Amino acid sequence: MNIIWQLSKITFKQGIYSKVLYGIVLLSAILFVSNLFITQLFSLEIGKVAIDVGFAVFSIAGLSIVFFMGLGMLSRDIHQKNIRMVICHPVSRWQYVAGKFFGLCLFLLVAVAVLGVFSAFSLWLGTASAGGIQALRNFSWLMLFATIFSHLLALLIILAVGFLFTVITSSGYLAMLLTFVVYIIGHSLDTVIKVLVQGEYVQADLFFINGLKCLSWVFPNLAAFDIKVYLSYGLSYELSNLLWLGAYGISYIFSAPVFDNGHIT
Amino acid sequence: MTNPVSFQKVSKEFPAGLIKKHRVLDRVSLDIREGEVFGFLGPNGAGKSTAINIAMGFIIADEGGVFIHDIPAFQPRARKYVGYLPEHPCLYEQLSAAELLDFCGAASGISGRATREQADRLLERLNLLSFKNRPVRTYSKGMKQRLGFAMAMIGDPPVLILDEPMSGLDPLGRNLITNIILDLKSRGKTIFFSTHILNDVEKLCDHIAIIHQGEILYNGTISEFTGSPDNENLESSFVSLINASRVEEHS
Repeated sequence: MNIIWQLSKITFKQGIYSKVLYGIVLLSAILFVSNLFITQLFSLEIGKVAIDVGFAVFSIAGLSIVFFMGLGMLSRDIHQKNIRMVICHPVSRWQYVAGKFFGLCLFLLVAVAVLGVFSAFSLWLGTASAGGIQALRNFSWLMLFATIFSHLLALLIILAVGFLFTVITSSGYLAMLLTFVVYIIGHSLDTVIKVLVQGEYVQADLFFINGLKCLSWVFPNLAAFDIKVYLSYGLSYELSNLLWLGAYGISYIFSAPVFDNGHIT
Repeated sequence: MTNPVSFQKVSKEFPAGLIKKHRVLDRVSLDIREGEVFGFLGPNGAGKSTAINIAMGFIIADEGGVFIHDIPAFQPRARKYVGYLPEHPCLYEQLSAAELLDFCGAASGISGRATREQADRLLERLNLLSFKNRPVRTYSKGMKQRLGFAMAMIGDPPVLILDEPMSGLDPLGRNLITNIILDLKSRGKTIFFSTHILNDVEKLCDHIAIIHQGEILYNGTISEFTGSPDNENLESSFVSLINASRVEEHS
């Protein structure tokens, strides 16, 4: 267990020292501040716009961290053989996978906490002219935390998928491309299913629809983690839904890296 | 008594196209005895690095196996006895030497305090102590090589596997590493290293093995190989052996 912790620790440090991080932080700060000006362009639903813009920046920053920092770091390890610095010690492949993954998770957790604070601050700035955060329809801090938590889970799932592709492919760019494709599918398959089920002029086989539904959870279903609409419209979100989402996300995150440690050389 | 490192009929093939395979190692058997400095020589592409990668458990042999103190090399516990220096040290460049050595010590199972003591001693010996808190990306090639050497030695492993240890070093660095290897030899450490530099072999090795196209052409002492008790003519004997092997292949 100690070696996993040590590996997580140096992975976290690598993240902190990474120059990519400074760029991401700077970009996020600019975008969050720009929320103040963007919301002024709207006279109605300022709260919804502020939440949408805030979480869009949150997603961009989070995905940049996952793709450019997390997967970039991992790709250098696997494809430039930096991993040999670790496994030349009495460290097994699964310990390497676990240590590296937990280190990146820890880094993402801290990054999301910082982004969450920025996001809440940008929400406060954006809604200041309309009476502040409390003036939003049924605003709840708990719902804001739940939304941030679900975004974190989605980012961790992308990281786990990226981890898998980085290990089983021979190129870091290919791994990033495949992960991005999964990200797009994960966000759009749910919409496709809704169109097939609810579309007035659409006729689809029930078997085909059920197959797509199963596939959307295999891919994974990232749209399910996007619960900011509940926050922006002040809708209630069942605790059981959140728990289920958490269980699905966590089981997905832990199952993806398990498949890949045999390929590491 | 068992040998610290033992290659037993190790064969390895790599794909060379869709169906064709290229045999890189062909039933290689070597025994490296305790306290011995063993030089592993061969021209480029002879199979030296593949043999070392198998000995470190990075890749698995198709046939046969390598054993470190009787433990199959692919098992992580075998690497408890081994310090490894790759030809081009793969380092996490954002971290400092102190952080990297801390990690290597912890990975080798030694306490934090012992690691820090050993790290300072090794860095001082390798003229890196004043740079220990600087990120590795600011180091020169030779400094990285010396840091790689410190990382191999932390935890004081009984066996050292060194892949081209003099690569990228200036004459001063080479002299430093040569002296350290001689010191390790006097302390009874077993050292297995590959090199192109025959001068280093003459100075350091008790035993040599010469590999060409995956096959061991010679395994024994230098004096037996050169026919001279002073280890002279190693280069000419080496070239003659490789050329004779090439002629035999063509004919």
